[in-house]
Amino acid sequence: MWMTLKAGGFALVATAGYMVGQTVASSYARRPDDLKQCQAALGLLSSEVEYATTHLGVALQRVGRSLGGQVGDAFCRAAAALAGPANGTVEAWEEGLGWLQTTTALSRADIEILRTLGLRLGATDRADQLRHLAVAVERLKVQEELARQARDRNETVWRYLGALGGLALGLILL
Amino acid sequence: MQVDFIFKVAGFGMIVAVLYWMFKTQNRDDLATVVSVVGMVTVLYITIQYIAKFFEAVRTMFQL
Amino acid sequence: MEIFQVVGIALIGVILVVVLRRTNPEIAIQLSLIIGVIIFMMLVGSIGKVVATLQNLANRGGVNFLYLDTVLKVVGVAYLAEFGAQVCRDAGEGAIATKVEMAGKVLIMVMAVPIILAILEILLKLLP
Repeated sequence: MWMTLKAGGFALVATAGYMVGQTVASSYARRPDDLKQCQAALGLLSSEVEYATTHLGVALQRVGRSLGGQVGDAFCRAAAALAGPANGTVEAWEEGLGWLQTTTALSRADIEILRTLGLRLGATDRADQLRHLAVAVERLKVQEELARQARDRNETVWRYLGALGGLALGLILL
Repeated sequence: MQVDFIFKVAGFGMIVAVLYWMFKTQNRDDLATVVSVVGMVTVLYITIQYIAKFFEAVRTMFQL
Repeated sequence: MEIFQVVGIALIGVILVVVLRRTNPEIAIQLSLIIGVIIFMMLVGSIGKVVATLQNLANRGGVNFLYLDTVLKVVGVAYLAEFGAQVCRDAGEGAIATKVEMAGKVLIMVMAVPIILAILEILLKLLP
């Protein structure tokens, strides 16, 4: 009885450590892909702004639909918020950012880049918007490179550290 | 269950060894050093308690 | 039989120590220390019996209690010193091991002083 209890506790602690490692590692692993998705979305958005000259809500909706994934969902949400009861562009954009922050692995700095972009979106003339979109894509590209380096440095480390650290902690507590 | 201690320390040592090797291959020498020191101190903590018991036993047995 | 347990623990422990020694020797040393302590702990009961028998015999034979006490202490110090020195030698520190052994010898010498004095006194009495 006592032994089973101990073994069960050991398994629980070890599994918890493993899962912590996996979670941190996967957030490192997903961030470059998420950043890439954001760049793709902004690219689509800039072509919408440049050629289609649609209303911002429709453009966001279209980009979100064609992109899919979590980033696409965020765009759809922003579009829905824009179409909803008397919201400004900034609030709608904020809604999409909130969704991004909770569901993707983007860091606060990445979100901040998108936030500064949102202040300009739909508020100035077309050339200015395009310029800001290009700048945001550029900055996201830099962030992606950094994220890639961070992933190479940290992903395997966290995977091993979580699993083995959980095992070690379990052994100590046993 | 005294034999537990042997397996506990040995398992801990192997985990530390694997972590050390992993950090080395990832070129994170700083973390490798930290891991080996932390592992050493933790094992020392277990060992010290055991040695205290041992000394107590010797003391009572030979009336030192 | 206790000897099976002792040998079994020693064999398992030795294998683990050898595995660990390649990668991290500092933990291997501590493991071998723990194995030594565990084996001693298993023998505690038997040694206690031996000591009790010795005391019983001494009582019956009317030996001065001081002498037996001293002998026991000497055995204890010798065992401890040997244990410590052996661990040091295992870790490749022969110099420290030698010093521990010397300390053990000196302390045993100090403990044995009353007995030596008693013997000398008896000798002096025997001489005219």
